[in-house]
Amino acid sequence: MPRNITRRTMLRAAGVSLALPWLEAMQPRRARAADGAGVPPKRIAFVYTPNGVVGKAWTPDEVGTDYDLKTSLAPLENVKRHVSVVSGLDRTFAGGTGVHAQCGSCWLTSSAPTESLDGGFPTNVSVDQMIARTIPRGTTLLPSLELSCNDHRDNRETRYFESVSWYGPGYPANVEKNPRDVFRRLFGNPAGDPLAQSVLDVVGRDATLLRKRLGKADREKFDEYLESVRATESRIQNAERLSQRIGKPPIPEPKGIPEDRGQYLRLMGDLLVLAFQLDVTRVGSLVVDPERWDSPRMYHGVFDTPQNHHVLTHTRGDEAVEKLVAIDTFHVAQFAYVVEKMAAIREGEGTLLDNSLLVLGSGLSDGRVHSYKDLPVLLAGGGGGTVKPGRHLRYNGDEPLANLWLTLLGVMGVDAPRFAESTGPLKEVLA
Amino acid sequence: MTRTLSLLLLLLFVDASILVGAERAVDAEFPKQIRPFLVRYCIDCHGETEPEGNLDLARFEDERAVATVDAEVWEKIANRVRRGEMPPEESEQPTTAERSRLLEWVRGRLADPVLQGTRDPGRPVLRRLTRLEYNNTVRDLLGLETDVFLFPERLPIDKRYFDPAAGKMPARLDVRIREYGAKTRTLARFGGLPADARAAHGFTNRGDAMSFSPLLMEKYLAVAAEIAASPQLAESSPRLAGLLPGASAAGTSRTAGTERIDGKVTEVVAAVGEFAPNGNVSETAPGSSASPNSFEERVASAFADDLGGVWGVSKERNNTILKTGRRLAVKYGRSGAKRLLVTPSDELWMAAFATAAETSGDLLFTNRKRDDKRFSLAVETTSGERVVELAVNLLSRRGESGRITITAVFSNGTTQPLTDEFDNGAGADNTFFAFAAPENASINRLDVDGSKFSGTYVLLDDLAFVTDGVAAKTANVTSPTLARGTEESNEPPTAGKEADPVTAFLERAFRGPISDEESTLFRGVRDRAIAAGATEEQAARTLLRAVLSSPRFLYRVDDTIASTEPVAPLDDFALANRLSYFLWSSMPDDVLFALAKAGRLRDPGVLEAQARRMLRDPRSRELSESFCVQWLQLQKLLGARPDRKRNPAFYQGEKRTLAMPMFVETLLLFETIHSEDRSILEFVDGPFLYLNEDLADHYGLGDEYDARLAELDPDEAKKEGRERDRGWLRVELPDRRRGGILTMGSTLTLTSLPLRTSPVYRGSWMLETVFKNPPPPPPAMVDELGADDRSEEGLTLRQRLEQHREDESCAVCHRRIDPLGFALESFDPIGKWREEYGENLPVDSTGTLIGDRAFAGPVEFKDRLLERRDDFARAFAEHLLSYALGRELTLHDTETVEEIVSAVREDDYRFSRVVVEVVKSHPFRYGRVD
Repeated sequence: MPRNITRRTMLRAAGVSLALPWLEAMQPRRARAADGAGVPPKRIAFVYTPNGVVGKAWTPDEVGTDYDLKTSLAPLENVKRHVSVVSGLDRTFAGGTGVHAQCGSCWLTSSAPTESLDGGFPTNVSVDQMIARTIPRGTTLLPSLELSCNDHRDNRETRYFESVSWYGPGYPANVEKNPRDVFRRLFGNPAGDPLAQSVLDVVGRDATLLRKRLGKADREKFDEYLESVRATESRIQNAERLSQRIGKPPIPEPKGIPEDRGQYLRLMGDLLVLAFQLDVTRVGSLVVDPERWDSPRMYHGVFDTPQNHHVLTHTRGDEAVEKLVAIDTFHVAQFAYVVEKMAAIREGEGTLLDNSLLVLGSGLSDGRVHSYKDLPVLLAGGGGGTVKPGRHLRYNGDEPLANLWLTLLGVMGVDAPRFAESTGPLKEVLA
Repeated sequence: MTRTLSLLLLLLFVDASILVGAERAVDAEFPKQIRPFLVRYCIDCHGETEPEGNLDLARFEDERAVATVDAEVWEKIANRVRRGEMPPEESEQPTTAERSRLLEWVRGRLADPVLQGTRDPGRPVLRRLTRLEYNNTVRDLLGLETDVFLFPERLPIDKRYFDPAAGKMPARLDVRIREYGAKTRTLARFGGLPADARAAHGFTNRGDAMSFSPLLMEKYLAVAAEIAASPQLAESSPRLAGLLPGASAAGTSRTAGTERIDGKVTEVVAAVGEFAPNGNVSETAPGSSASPNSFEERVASAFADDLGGVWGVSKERNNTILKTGRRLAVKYGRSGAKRLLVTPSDELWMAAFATAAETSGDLLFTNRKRDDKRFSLAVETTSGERVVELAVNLLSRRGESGRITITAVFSNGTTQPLTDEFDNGAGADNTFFAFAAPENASINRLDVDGSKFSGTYVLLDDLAFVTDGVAAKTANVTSPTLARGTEESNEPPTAGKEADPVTAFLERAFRGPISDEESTLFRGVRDRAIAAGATEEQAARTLLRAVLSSPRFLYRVDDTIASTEPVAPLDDFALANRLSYFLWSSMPDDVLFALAKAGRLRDPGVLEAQARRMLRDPRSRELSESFCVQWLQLQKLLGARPDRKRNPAFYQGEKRTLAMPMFVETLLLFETIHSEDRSILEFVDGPFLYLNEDLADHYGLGDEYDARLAELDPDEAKKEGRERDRGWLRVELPDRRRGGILTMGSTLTLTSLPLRTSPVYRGSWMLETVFKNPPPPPPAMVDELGADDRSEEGLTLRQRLEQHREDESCAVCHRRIDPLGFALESFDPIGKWREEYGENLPVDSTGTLIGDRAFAGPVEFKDRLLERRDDFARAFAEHLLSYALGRELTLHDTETVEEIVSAVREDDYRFSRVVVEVVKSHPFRYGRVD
């Protein structure tokens, strides 16, 4: 029953409806400063990389603004002043579940490790979803966008590996993996299909009939369907207006999942940036790869043969470490691409990046021993002038990662006294 | 805010449960039996100070201290005591009587007081269709012969060999494996659904592991829209035909699926009256019996009089092949009542050629194989009417030239050849060939000869014919679905009033009776579409789209029970659905529906008979492809990449690996045990395996394979250059090192790391699959063993693991895990037999199981397992029961499981007995009411 409340409240928020889209007031050439609604909105996205990183090639030796980028972070050279490296933040492992399953699924969770409402897992509404639900309904086409670049076809893991975004305990957001589908979701015009609305109407009414027949527990589960119908209805209504505002989509429709790993990641990044730029959504998450997942994959241009990221973390010897550093560097390079792209898009007095926050991180630090201490975090963007980037912030001792999420909640205008096992906001992050 | 509220509610909830507990009469059992048990056997380790595994049992001082919130703890205690894992071996052991008293007490303590002692069947869980079930349900609802969309659970294996009704698998099989992920023919070309997550230690069909989200809703809507709009639908869905009353009349649909003509399933296409409407026939072959203009008029009027027609390849046929020996029935005449049978001598390909100019539409037909330019088309009408005139267009392409001859063969034995020279035509040379039969004869065949033609394909379009209209015989034409229906149902056909097509369709789609409100709602969809000017067909498509998006279709709501009693039997439709989704991963068929309507499935005898019938139906392939694959976690095999340098045998050239053959080997064993109804103990150890040549060599059984092949097919055995991967033979094993699932390439490989075997993975895999007792996940901050098995500091992997076990907190689980893995150390990371690791280190595959049962090597290990065969049977039954119910089993199911195990033991551990007992079990037929 307690989960019912969280779940429903969340879903209400997930259902977009009719309000004035912010961007309608900021058509390209309109002088924004002139009308009062002209403050660009803040956007935030969370990028998850699996299996931890090699700390000695990641964490800078110096703190403050004057520090050297080590090998894995070298791709950030051009955007160093826009990115902060945050080190020394920890999470607490709740025993009884898999280390890999938990570190990814609970990276952003609002439940404290001691509170497990989902079997042994402390999954609960995640930071991104808490932010998404406070954005006024119907402001954007989608309340949030959940992406994943896990194109493995041999589906064999549980739900704890697919998504870092959760609507509630045990209730993950589905992720979109195919760039073509993301494009259609952003720019497709379902209102152009005259039958869509009437089909939804019928199935919505059928759902109401059906719900009466169900028992209490089943009803709670079934409400997921009802709320999904409502969310889709609202989206169709908003989509029509959006297509009038945007007109033709600014990029051609992707053909599918690119063969090249880097291209795939960058294309998903492009779509996320577009969604932010056009104010289709203000909240996003991207799972670069799921935790563990012992299928080797190609990292094009980095290795000639497929590599198994997870197995490498447990392989001894310098060769394995070198390979891990190469994978970390590869992921940071793709992240740097997105940061650079956002920094090049003018918006108001500054850039899209100035008005956004981009987080990259992992739920493990040292994958070899599954450590939840000293987790890697990169924080890019200015958050609309609230955050001061370009530094290495080092925390020592038991500073929970939850404190960072609490800080970002505040930046995004969410009033929360606590988050998971937080002890207080990280003031040093703020401008 | 919300979080605070949830916490408050949680506290309230917990308080309420404690109250329920307190109301219960304090039983005398606890102080007399249970507390002393804990004190004597447990509290030494699980006491107040630093209890082992953080489990403090001292706090349970009296009955009142046991709260409902401890249910999970007690369930765990009961399970470990039941399996003999606790107390640990070196400690004092309770007697069997003491153990069962504890179990009884826990079961009673955990029982819901509302049930007042009634047996608890568990609460049915609301389930959404899995992706596989969705595909199969749409397929069977519409009567499709293909899958609905491409999805990874559908294995790329041609399953035509699987015929459980035969009761015997052939000794030799031709199993064709496509490239994994290659495109195949499906109804929907773009849409699909996201994968279903597997429940932890369970199956994808577990209700509690499923969820619904706005994104998933959009996927369902999109795929429903694509299915409903599919141009192939009318042709491929005989089942939908009932909804399309207008579709069979002339003009609305050019095609009509398949029919059974004189007992043979025949593809049916519809003729039209228009010959070569594209107006680009420029030449006429010298000697033709007619000019294009006069023929065009004649065939049009013949069509109007039911005396002929034109087959111009409709666009739904794009890129389809008419196989050698298959016929095409061209439905001709305005009434569509007559059939012309076209039988090609070679494979015929219907396709669009961008470089050719078709004379109607944008498809043509041609030889399937390149350069197969000599072929013939035999023609005859099913009514015995004579074909008196026949014409066809030959298409020309740029750069192709030379002579093509078409010869008509008449019924009186005479022939007429027509020849034309082509010259680099690019469509400008499209040529008309027309033949007329001599008096009192008919045209029986056209022989095409393009051997003097430079192109690789002889391109034809618009096969047109005129008959004399004198019927001489009657062919037996039925729709295949009808024919199949009568074969299948040994049961009396449903009596009573025949439902109208829309209601009948809705009842099948929703897999049970529908309420008046539902009927009105969905009829409204169709009626409104028609009122808005849609044709019958468009309206039917709209209805289909709404139905496939509706929760009644997407969820299995049949399990919902309305009753005032706390426990009630499931109704007949619920049973029909449980049966069909369990055994077929699809909707019930007509027989099950008829029995449900008649209220007969409640009868356990009927239920058993149906389960047995369904096991003999080819749809039961899903037991191997879905249940077995998930049970043994075979999906992992597809992602396995053993190190190339050390395991070259795994890689067969650039693209092929041994993974798919290993996968198939496992499925074939499962399918053999299933279709021959053998003992499930053969999963542990069996006398034979199905092997292809690659696997036989890999296992060192090449000689056995060759001998078997020589026995079965001496000619083939002598042939050079056989296709090594395709020929599968049932090979009797010379010794017991192989046999059963534990010593198979598939399971041994999927539990290994690229550079070494992993006794820990193999052991945990075995605990999960073979014993259904998965170990808990390892704690965080554990330094794992290296990924390589090259010795470190002079220690073997086993020695390093033993070191690891010196730490008592690790030993608790690893004592259970490691010995199982060590037993299989005689097999390398890709399942090849080995006597030593590199570096002259001999393999040590000895070990001791719980209960001080020692073994040396895999054969003795199997012996140890078979000594406790009921343990395996129990775990197998538990997996199958959990799969059938779509929920995790609880302590309340132990009684049921024991009943199944004893029935299975009585019936020599037969596969079908497990299935039948699951189906007849209490939780399968009854449910808790909310």
